[in-house]
Amino acid sequence: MVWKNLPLSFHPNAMPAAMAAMAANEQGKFWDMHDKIFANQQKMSRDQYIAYAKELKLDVAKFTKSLDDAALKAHIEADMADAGKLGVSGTPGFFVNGKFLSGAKPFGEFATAINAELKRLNLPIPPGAPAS
Amino acid sequence: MSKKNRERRDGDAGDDTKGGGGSGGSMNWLPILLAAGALVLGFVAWTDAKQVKDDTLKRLVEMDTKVLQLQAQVANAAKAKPAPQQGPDPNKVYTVRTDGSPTKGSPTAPIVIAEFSDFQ
Repeated sequence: MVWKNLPLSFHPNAMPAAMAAMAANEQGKFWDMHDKIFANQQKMSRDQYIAYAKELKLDVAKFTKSLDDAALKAHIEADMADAGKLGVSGTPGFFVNGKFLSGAKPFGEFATAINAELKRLNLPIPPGAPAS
Repeated sequence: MSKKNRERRDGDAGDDTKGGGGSGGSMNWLPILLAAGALVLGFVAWTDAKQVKDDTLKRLVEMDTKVLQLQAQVANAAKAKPAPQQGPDPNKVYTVRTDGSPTKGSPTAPIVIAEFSDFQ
């Protein structure tokens, strides 16, 4: 699972949130920060992200500084450029071994795509995994 | 009876025979005129109606042709402009750059799912 940032221009909180998540990533806690932000999408603010950083026992000073880090911003903007080149304009957009799946599809569709790839790679479908 | 009367009656009889049943000899062109007039009017009316019918038919044929032309144009337009591709081609295999991106799971996993997403 690889996270590619695509903050949409008409979502004013998207970029600051992406910065917060990437700042947490610097300290190895990307997915925890990701989960916290998604769990509280009505409470998206700089102060909120700093509060999460505290909860996640991050170096808060470093985290706060990173919220405005140009290098992190550049990484996010590079992700956005990648999206543009690939033709992805909406979120979420998924690539399963390079094959595009648009939007928040039901799990069954992911299972289908994953199983097709496993088959193509001559790999067994794990026991108990959902069938296509 | 007086002679005069007899003469007049004779004269009348004579006139009757000459006149051929009309009210008076001087008016016998009227029925013919009326009949001719009616014929002319009837003819005019008939030609008018025919003209209207012909014009209408001609117009219908023109409209039919126009409809066929428009149908052809619409078909061409639909063919010429296929719906613009919405997003990446789902049948294509793309390469997604992953360096520097947060990951979850085994780095050597056979299945890599790249998610482009927004937090808001």
